[in-house]
Amino acid sequence: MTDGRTTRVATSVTPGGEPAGPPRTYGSIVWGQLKKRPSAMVSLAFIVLLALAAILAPFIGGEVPIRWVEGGEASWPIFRCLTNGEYVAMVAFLLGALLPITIRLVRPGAEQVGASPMLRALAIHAAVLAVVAGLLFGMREPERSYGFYLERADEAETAWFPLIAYPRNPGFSELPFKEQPPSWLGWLAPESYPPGSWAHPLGTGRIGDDVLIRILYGARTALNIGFVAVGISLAIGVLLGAISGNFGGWVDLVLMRVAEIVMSIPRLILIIIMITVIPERWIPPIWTVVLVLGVTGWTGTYRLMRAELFRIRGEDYMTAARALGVRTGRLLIRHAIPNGLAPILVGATFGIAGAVFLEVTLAFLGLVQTPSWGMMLNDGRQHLEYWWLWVTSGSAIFLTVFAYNLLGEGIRDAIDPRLRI
Amino acid sequence: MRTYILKRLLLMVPTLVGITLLTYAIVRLAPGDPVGAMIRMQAGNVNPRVFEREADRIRQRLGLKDYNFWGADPDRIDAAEKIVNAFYGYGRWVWHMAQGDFGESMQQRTTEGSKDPLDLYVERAHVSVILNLIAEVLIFLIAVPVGLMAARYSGRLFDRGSTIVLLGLWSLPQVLAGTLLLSLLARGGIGLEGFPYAGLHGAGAETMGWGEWFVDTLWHATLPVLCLVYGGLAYLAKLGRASLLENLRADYVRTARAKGLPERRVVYHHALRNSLLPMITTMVMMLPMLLGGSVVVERIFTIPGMGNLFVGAAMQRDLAVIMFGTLVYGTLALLSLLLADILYAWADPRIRYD
Amino acid sequence: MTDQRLTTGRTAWGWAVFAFAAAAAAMCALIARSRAEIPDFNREQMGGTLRRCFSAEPQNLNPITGKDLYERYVNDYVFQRLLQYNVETGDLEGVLAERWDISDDGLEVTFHLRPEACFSDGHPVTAEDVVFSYNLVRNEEIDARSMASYLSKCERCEALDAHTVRFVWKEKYFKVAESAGNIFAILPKHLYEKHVEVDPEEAEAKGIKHFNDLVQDFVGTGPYVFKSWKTGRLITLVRNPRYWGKPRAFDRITFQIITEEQASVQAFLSGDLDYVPITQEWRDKLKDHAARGKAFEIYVYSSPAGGYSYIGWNSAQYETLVSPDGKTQRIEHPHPIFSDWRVRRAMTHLVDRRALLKYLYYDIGKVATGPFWSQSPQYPPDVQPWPYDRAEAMRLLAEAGWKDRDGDGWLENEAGKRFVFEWTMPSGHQQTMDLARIIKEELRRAGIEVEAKFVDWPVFVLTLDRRDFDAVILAWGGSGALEHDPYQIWHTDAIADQGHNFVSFRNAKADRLIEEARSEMDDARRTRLFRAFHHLVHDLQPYTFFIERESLRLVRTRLRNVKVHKLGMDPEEWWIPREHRLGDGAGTP
Repeated sequence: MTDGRTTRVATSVTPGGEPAGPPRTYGSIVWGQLKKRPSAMVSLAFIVLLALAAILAPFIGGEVPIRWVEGGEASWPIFRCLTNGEYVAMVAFLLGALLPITIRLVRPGAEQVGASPMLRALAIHAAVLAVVAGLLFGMREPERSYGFYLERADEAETAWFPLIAYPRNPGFSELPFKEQPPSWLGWLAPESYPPGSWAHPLGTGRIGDDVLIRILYGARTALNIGFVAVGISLAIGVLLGAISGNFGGWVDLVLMRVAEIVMSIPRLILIIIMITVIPERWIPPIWTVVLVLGVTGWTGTYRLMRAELFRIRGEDYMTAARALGVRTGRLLIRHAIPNGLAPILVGATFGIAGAVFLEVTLAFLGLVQTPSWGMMLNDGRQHLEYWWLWVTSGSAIFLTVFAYNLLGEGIRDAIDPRLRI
Repeated sequence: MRTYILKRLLLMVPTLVGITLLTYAIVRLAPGDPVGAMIRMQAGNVNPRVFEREADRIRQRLGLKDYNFWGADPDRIDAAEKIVNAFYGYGRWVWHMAQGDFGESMQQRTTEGSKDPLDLYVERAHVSVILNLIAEVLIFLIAVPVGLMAARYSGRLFDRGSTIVLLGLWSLPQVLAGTLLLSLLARGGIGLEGFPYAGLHGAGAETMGWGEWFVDTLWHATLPVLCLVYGGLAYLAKLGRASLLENLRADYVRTARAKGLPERRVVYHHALRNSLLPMITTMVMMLPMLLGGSVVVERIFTIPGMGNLFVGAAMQRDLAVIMFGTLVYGTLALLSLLLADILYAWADPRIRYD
Repeated sequence: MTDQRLTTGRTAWGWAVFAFAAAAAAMCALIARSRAEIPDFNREQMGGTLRRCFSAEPQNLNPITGKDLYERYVNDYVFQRLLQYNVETGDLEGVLAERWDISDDGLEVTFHLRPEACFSDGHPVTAEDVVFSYNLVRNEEIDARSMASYLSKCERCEALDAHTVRFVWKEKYFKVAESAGNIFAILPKHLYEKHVEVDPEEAEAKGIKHFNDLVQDFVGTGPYVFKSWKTGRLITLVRNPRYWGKPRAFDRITFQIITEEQASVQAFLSGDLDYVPITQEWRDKLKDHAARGKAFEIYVYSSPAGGYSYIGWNSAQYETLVSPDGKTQRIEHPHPIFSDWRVRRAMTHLVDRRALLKYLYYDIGKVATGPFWSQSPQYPPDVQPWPYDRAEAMRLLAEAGWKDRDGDGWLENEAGKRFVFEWTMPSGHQQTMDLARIIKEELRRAGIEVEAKFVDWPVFVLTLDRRDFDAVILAWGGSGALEHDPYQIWHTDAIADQGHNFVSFRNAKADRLIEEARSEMDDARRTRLFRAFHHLVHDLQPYTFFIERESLRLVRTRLRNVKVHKLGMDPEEWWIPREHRLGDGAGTP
């Protein structure tokens, strides 16, 4: 049954003639399949936990206490020091967790007008996030000076420090602790730590920086690269693919050639050329790698989107919708994109894994300036005997990429109707 | 079929133009002065007169001079003129290239060896080709049986186990794998000390006989090839498994079984042959990727290969070498795409391109 | 802060070690040669190959236009100069010159050449060759910039007869003999004259390369001659059969090019190399190696060539004005932060150099206090490095007007402007990045904000030339001589014209001390003047002097007569016993 605006799957009917339950959208089918695959769920959980750890990094390790009571006055220094970006990330994560609730709230209203509840909920959350971000960035300056809290810990009546009470960036007083193995292996470095101490669970690096803290903050870079870079690729690919598939003709011819061109240049070379070419004053180096990864990785998504559009162009419901005068844009958003989303999602997860890999190579070549796992690996590999340096970063990279690959495979299997569980 | 191939070959030309033009434009229009930077970097403290002369000569040679076409200010070149200059420079590059002049490498400016990008690449080609060919063959030889077994015993221990292992291999960065191999297995490191730590040939390779040279090269190539193989292997094995599984579930296999054909014949003679096709086409497309992406291996094992040359040129904005490399890699990539499509058409009579 | 490691910059990755050594090579006082007393080798001791390595390829092997340390290492075997320093005593000795006299007014140096000295093609060395080589350096067309500055005060060089040559200087100079005799190599006029006379534009047409384009295969007077250069792999020198002096022990010298330090150490440990420079970290790793003392030994020594690293504080800020007729003018203003010596000294107090030396450099090196080498007579024995003292630093800063006036944890001056500065550094170098991180954090704790800016090496050089920075981190290599002339770096004249006084250090007293010392020929008086200068610079801290660097070498024990002298080591006095030689020197070492 269709009124030109809904694509609800027809209510299925059991052999006895009664309705077989609420109609299921394609998305819910895929999600249901995914839930039944333990490997996919494990990797999803890992990624979520990683994101959480990255966001909460200042609470896990750092020199700023969470709560500080001195001379009868209580304060919460850490909240003064969190940057606006960190707050926005926290809010985004929270909103992501609340998404199912919002969907449920929005569903009745959405289904009445035939809109997708998921997209509506997303739109609401995005708006909230934008407002929060605007307020924060417009009105707040985080505190950046050093508070000497660690040195003055005795002066406070109460001091709740993060789990690892150690400066995030080492100074001279931290130098003596350089290149220590994980402190619970105290028998390896008896002069610094007694065995079983948890002062530095993953050891320290070349200048006395705590490795665990570095891994946590490196996770931010890895996730950034993963989400933002691939997000950019997705956006470009979906847009161009939709245009290509919808208009066809010479537009498609030209865009297809462009994609071929980008595909035929080795991606690494293109990235390197662009990195060395973008000067610092245009884009801060932190974002250069992300941007360049994003701009060079859209071709896969493009082709998928384009193929999907070509496929459904011939479908009857599309012809009908168009005959009824539905606008092209609406069609794209309501029909083409949601249907093509699943294989694109698979491509995206593999793309994230690929982006993290590329960052490691770029760090090896010396083109990365922000601290990241790739840089840690590159540093650590030159001193293999300090195994905790490269084992931790190597494992972090390995586990993350493995998780994304596993997730990608899981989604791919979930989509495949022949592999229905 | 023939007309299709011809049409594709002809279509390659505008794509190649696009590839090379895009690369040229990015490198050329970028802010900064790569020629001056290069000379400064190589020379440090340069006599200004010599610097100017050298810089001029290189710019002339590579067509990097910016001409002022119509601007009001004769000394400044504005953005529009720069774009026109870039097109002009590109055209000049194409013209020279058609005559066999590929420009000269800025990085090799002061050394005695050849500066011609063609020579530079050819010098290293044999290294890259040896390594990558061996890698490709090995990948194929290992991936097929592994994929085959995983598909046959699908769902059982071997399949699950190999999936995890393969996925794990796929997730291991080359930087880490290479370093571990080098330190654990190469001479002068910790551990086994069985393999050489650098280069593709031992000292005195020129004086060896053929057989000895062959063995020596293989011995040197072992670790780098291992490093190149493990990633592609994982990908291809999984692909093979998926492909074979799909075939094993197909109707024609069911028919064959129903006909009473021995299982062995069904699998090896029918299903395998059909499932090999996507694997072969993937491998055909993998070769350019391997050639272009082997810079990590080349650096860790100190092997002078094409990947290192290309990446080095990209980082230094050495225009002539970049352009030549783009041309070569672009052509290889497009040719391999074409070859893959031809293979598909040849194998599957249902596919018609005309 | 690693020592002699260079790359050609062919790869950005190679820049990882390019920075300081390149700075040392390209911008330092010239490395004057020093040599040991060569023993009389008997037949048994002669033979074998010395296998060395470089971490990057030299740009070229041209002794006059060569730009990096590697060229110098190679050409030390192929070419000779009129004089050299004795590596044990530090005194000047004659090589191609038998003896030399300095006139009473100190303006003329006359060299008497050894009649037996000859080039490797048999031609005898004459005064004409010396004049020719001198003219090469001073020729504007020849790319010999760094050498030329040392001869800028030389008026002329003339051949008095076949074996006598005189240099005439414009002013008295304590290094008048060294500047004439130990700066440039002597090349044969008869072979290279035509390369100089050809017009660069017509060179290609005539088929004669211009001298600037000559890259290898030079003819010199040294004990070895160039054999081959396999690009990217190996440079080989063989014994000069027509060498005029005492023969050296080795038949061949090879230089392998290995970019990765790990690979070169592995090559050394597996027996493929004999003599390898390393960094402090490798020494720390190898000091407990099983084969140490048996198969190889690690040498750590201080030499005047080591130089020192530093943070340069720009005392001036330049403003570029463009007048309506298009002319640009640069106006110098005192730097708002670093023109005050109290601020600079406070910054030195905020850097714990002892901790850096101990933890980042593994105790190899010394805390530097000023421009002179700690073992040279110019160094005042009573100078004490400024200690790491945050309280003292805050006191000095407060005195200079920098206090935390609003309680936000940052320092501001009277005008309310925050203490923020930009620190420009060459990129890709691990040790620099580590150092930058630590110091940035330390300064943050003191209330000073630092913006660390990493740039490519060529951009960095430009930044230095244009004085477009607040602070830089850099290193000077030393000259090979016991005494170093500070004029190039510290005199006011060296500020303009892209001279080496990057930080625009202007001090009348310092200038006077330099000028007087330079023209003082009496050693004792000169020493007093230099010591006073060192104290002055130490007080004013135009740089925060970091670490005086020491050299580290791995040497295989099969090499004999390996000694560390006052000024360093000299491989030319080594030899290999027959039983330790490998192969017959044909293709394999």
